[in-house]
Amino acid sequence: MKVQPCPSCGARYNVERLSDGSTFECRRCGQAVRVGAAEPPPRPFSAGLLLAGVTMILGLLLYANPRFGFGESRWPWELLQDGTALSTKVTILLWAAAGLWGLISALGIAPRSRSVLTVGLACVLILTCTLPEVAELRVDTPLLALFAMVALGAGLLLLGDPATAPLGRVLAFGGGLLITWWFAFSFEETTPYLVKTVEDVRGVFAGHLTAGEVTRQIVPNLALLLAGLVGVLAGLGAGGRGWVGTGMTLLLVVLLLPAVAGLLEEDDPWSDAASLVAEHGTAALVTSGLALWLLASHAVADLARNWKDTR
Amino acid sequence: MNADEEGFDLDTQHDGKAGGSASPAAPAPTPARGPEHPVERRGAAARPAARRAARGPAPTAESAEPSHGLPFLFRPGFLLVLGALVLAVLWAGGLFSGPDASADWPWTLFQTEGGAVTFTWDAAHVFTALGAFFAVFFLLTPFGPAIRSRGATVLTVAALGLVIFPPMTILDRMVVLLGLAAAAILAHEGLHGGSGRRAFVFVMVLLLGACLFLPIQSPGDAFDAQALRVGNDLFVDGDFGEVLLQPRTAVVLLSCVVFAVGLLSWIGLGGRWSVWVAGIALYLGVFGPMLLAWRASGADYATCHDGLRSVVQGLPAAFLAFTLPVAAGAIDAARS
Repeated sequence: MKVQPCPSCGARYNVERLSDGSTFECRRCGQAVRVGAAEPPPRPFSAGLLLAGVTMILGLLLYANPRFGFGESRWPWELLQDGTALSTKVTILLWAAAGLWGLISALGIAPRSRSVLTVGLACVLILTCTLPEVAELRVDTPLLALFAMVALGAGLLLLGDPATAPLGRVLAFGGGLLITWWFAFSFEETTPYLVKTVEDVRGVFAGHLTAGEVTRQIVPNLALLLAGLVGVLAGLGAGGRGWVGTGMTLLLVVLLLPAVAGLLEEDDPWSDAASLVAEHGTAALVTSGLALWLLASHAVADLARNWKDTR
Repeated sequence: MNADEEGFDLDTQHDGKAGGSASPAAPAPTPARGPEHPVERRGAAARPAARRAARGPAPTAESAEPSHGLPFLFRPGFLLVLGALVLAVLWAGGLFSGPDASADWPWTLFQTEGGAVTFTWDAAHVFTALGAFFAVFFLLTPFGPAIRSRGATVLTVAALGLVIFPPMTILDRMVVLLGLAAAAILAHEGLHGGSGRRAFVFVMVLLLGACLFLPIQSPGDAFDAQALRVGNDLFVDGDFGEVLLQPRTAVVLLSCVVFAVGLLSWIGLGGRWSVWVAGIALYLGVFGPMLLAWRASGADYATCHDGLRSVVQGLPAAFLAFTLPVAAGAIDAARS
């Protein structure tokens, strides 16, 4: 008897009467099963998800710890025992769960369908942490900008593999278009945001702006615009390893540079190193949205790769 | 085991071949009993196959994994046309022109007093022009199969429309998620079921549940989740009838319905009923709050434009207007 397992749920089918290469739909999970296809190799380790999980947990520990916590002066698990506000407890629990699930997924302990839950948790956190009312683990990057950056990041990650490149192009194009659209059709009072950005750059050369304004505002804005253009061009067919690297670097500049600039602006950075690390570390990993962006973009890319494997 | 006894014709949609009688018999799940079980039986065992052949063709994969079909009212093309019309009506009410724009009809923005055409690159002019573009695009998309077959295109254009609006409140997010969750249920139950669409339902249910039940603010306040707050207003603190007729209550209650249906659909208890419930909730989620806002504004039918403006200003109308195109794009993307 010739048996073909479903690559998604593992249900086994007698395929003796089917020719190699034909496909049918799994009756248990609905996944397409190709006769004769080798079982896709497991993905036991994902460096990107590992980095995302570590960043999430590190961001939480920088935010809440009794030594030099930026937001809460207790360990995260202690917050669950006392009279802390329910919203704080829930946010911290969700954040910790998403980080731990990212780590478990990265190490291959979770099942193959792991990425769906990772994407779900990351999206829930993006949805709630970007609300203006939120005080705990708040993310300053606007909701739609963060989603655009997640789509762009996931698209760029998928461009490296020829099998996932078509989907990567769609995601990169969508994310890039959202970003460039925002620049073209957002207004600061009556001035279009793109015109304002160009005027700011002129101001830099004219010496009207301080170094802090340049590093905190002008350079990240330009990097975001360039990243959007990279995404649009990648969606239109441009590619290559350098292209992906450039796009990812620009996105990291957008997310990290304001926090780094804030650290450099300190008069005496080493006077109270611990609290500075907590404050600027939280700003870099949590408030900027870096941790959530890493988790969501890698989870989306991982989901797309798993989906491709099981087709 | 005998493949004939449990077999069914394959739905060959995945390899692009036409289905029907040319399809080979499909395998059935086997609990790995090993090769000692005969694959083909002869004699008496062959007779049921003959009887089945006399009865007609074997059940198809469609019936084994039922496809309930999408009623016309919930098909992406119809949703797009309807969404375009809603967008056009709200556009006429000044949805894109902003609160500072003239109280006149939006197209007067592009006319000088002398009647000449004018255009300035400011928010009111650009957004009003874009609003017209969105309405026309969504209206024409169903008639251009080359575009409509790419659900991602519709979704992207709808997302572009949402980007131009200011930061989204929790209610705005819920309105958009209501549409996406309903689309996920319609795609999962109405189209042929698949793991991808089930995952879509899962993620959307998770996000809608987060908007409804996660406590967001007000430290120490037990009723700071949207669903609990509305429930509290309805049954404890507020006047039931008055609270029930608020647009916010309508959005939250309909989101609760879609959340519950999505949950049942995800765990496999959905069916044709969930297609209808999700579809009707989608319609009520768009039109219910608009009608309630219209009613709250005094339902001034005599001065149509004033009535429209009051709806536009009293609601997350932009997000309501984009809900139908977002849902249509998501269903289309799930189908393709």
